[in-house]
Amino acid sequence: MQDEYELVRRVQAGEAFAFREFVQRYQRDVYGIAYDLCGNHHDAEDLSQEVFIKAHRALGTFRADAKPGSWLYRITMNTYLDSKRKKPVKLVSLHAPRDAEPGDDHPIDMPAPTAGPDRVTHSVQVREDVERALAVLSAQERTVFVMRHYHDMSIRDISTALSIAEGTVKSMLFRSIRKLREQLAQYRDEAGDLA
Amino acid sequence: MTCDNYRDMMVEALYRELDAEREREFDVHVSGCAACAAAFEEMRATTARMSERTRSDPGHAYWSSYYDRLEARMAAEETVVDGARTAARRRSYVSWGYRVAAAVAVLAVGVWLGRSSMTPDGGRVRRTVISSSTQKTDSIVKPSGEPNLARSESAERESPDAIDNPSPGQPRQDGPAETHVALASADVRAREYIGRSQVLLLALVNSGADSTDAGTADFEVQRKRAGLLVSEAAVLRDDLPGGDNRRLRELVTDLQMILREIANLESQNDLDAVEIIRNRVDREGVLLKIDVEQMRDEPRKSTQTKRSGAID
Repeated sequence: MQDEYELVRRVQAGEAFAFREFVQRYQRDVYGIAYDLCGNHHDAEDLSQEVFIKAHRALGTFRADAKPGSWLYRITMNTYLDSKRKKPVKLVSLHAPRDAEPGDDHPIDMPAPTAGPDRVTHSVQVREDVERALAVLSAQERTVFVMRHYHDMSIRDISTALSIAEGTVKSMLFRSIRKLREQLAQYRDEAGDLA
Repeated sequence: MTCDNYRDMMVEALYRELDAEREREFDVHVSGCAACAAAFEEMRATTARMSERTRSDPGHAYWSSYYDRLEARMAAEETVVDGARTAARRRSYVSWGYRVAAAVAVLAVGVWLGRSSMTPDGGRVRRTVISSSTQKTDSIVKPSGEPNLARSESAERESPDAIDNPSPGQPRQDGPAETHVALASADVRAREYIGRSQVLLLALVNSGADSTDAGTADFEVQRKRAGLLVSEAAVLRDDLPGGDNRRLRELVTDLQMILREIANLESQNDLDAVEIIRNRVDREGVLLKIDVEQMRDEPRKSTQTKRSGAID
């Protein structure tokens, strides 16, 4: 696989199909973050496309002081937060059924069919509860938690990307986990099994 | 360190971001503190539960067409942006069109005004009727006292032919004097009236002394001129309403009363009456008031001169 900086250089040089390659290289990562932030396929698609459009406009001024991938993550987070500032917060009831989404037909981490119906049912229930618990977090809390927990971004990198203090990131993470714990209270008895 | 300090470290400990020394210190505390151990364990259990979350993959077909959808959206947004730019450009053109049309209109009006006010021989622009009439009034004090030069503007209005056929050396007027007088504001006409009255008063004051020496004095010209100014003042005062013109109106009134006395002079040798008028002019400081009024009017005159210079 060619160097990611080289790919950016080709895009900057206006080489045909270079941007297509750039998008195809990062589309899954960007979409993945977008999905974790938005919690549904449609918003994730919209957000990820917006990220690439912004990147396309800004690639001409991109400097090699950050990895292109990290740069895209930063754009994704900030675009998501901007969109949340513009849109009113959508309140999701913990008891409301989730909307069916196109991607729901293709779960990549579904339990194996051999797991048995009870296990599958339980797994789907956990997945839905976890998704609803995440929906309780504020946009900033969700961003911080998602990036730290699902995308292994360090507290320092998150603070840099969002231009907030490391202490604030830690506080947000602590608060997020406490909120999630409250939302997932019904699973406390099983905590011993998971630990 | 207190338990609160260790709780602050829990997030970092959970994600293994503590350096080795702090991690060791944290482990020692948690192993000896049941409350912190329980809190940390709850955090760990919660994050473990959150790790059960799975993300759906949209599938191969979705990824293979992802760029095409992105490109279509970019093209659409570019079209929208281009459309907005085009609309802005069109608005700009329209705006410029209006500006050019306005400029042409202003230019046309300027040319029309210039052509209508220029003398046929390409001489000076006739600024207002005031300057020409003042020029005529100035001639009253000339020793020659030629009757045609002593005509008042009202007299000119009564005989338009004289205006259309000015005497040699006088600037030609293109239209009836009424038009130009009507164009001038009451304020300007009042100042012009004051100027003519001033000339008449000065003429009377000066000619009175000379006439005494000569033994005879003929005030016929001044008398007629004063009569015309008196009747003009009545109209003028009605045209000067409002507080801004109060001072001008008062001065015109003062002048009207004095001019009426001049108009009532005997044609010849009414030296006593002339002396009374002279004293009154002196006592009431009429000439001083006129000077003050003219000084007040200097800024407007200088502005007018600059404008005329610009036109020239």
